[in-house]
Amino acid sequence: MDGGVALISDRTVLARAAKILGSFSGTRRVLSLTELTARSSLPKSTTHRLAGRLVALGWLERETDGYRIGMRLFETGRLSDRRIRLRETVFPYLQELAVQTQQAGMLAILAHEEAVCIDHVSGPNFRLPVHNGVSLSATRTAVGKALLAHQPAEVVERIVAAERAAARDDGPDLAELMTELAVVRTTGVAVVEGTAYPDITCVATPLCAEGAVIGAIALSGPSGHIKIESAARGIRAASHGICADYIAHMERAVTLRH
Amino acid sequence: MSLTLRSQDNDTYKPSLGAMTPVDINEADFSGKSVLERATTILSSFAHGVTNCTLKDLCDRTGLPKSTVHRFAERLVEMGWLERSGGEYSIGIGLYEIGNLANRYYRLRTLALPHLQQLAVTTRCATQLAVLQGSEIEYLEIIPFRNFHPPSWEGGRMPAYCTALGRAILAFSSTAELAYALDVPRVRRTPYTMVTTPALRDEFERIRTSGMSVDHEESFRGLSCVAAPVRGSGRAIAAISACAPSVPFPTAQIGLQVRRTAQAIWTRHSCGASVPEPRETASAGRAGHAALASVATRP
Repeated sequence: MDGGVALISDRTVLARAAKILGSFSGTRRVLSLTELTARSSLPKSTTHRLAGRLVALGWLERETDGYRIGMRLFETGRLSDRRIRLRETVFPYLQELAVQTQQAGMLAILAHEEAVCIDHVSGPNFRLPVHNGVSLSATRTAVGKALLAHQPAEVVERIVAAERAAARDDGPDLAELMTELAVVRTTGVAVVEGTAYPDITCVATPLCAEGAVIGAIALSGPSGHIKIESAARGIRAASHGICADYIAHMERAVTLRH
Repeated sequence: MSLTLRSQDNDTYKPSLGAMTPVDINEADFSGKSVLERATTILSSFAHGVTNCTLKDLCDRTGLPKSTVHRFAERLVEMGWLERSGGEYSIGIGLYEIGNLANRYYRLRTLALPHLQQLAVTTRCATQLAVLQGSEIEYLEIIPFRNFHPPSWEGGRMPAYCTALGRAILAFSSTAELAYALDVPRVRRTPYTMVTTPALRDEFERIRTSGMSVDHEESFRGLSCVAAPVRGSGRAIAAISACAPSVPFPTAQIGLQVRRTAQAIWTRHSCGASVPEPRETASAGRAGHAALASVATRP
């Protein structure tokens, strides 16, 4: 079969599909074709055709005034093994911490240069203004700093560069961040008071297992209400328990497989 | 112009082709199956209990040639839609992030979540939120209690007739919806599963009177569940439940809490309560879809 046209590469098609799906956000969950075109920076005809395909496959759904992410993506996303495994180990600790401290607990991991909230537990009187699956700045939030503390310098540099490029004049300062990360390594906790979110103080600690940081947990509450020292003690104790459980779990999984 | 066609299924992939000006053609014309379909097929290999797949597993499950699967899987890893750890692939956090934005039940999920978490703590049960999808229920959120996690999974489905959640919704559904949901082969999943139409009709009547629905070991041996519909005066839009090992299971006490929570969720949902909308700012997250406004919550 001899085609008279260049074959479009699968790489291109997938990248375009990713641009379309990546156009949606927490505040923009329904997008018209025009908006989708603008946000994906693809030609309108391409956007229209690809969106139609994605609808046919269930990744997108049509809504009267545009497109939305489809339930198939919701269902597929929830099969993330990393989330399932981490949640299984971490959730009981977060639940317990939230009950004891009345504050909100969060579990985050580092994924493509951001801190992604994998799960969060609200306290009875305080609800964290995040959604599961939301990506947070790795340099500004306490969970982000906890996740970055044990990363190689070049990773930190790359993330700072990416955030500076996105934020233009308001990006993080590398030297300042490096100093903060050194403190996190010494104390084991990252504390952010009101700078990531107004009036919210967050205390976070990395979860280390088998020489790698597998995630970070945090306790957050209204500034002034959360006791930083006891929160730090609580999450540090939880992190030891989590890591022991996690390693035991992994070993069990390996034994089962063999 | 003569061009050698690159077969999608052999290893002679010449990246230089990609450097040519891509002509926007229907990529399905040449292979019968489009790039997106193949990617979808690969992603669909993953399921509950099959969250890790080796390359061989993926080939077996998709029926696609190894070279194709490898090329696609590696590309999906680059995109964050898959992750690779050792020799195994799994669904990537990137897809989890995007999937959470699914708009259909977004508001319901988001408003219900803190209530479900609170309910788990007060009842010492795992709690769940589900909606009706035809003859099945789909679990949207599941909150474990301590180390107890029910056998259900988020995004997973169960027949509506044999679950407390399903029956709580069906009791407050239209005649057509009910007829459709019951028009399935009803399997006795345990010795206690209610399968006959008269028994189910009586059960729906009980649910309409009591406002709650109970499943003692009907869907899983050893597991009890109490559910209540999320509704006002009309049809149920969803249901929530608390479930735990059957012994001891103080049904009445737990049921009361479940009903109250379902009512609270409905009130929030119907009064147009806004979900905490993440504010897009340059400082939060490279992708810009993070950063949040502080939210005052009701005690």
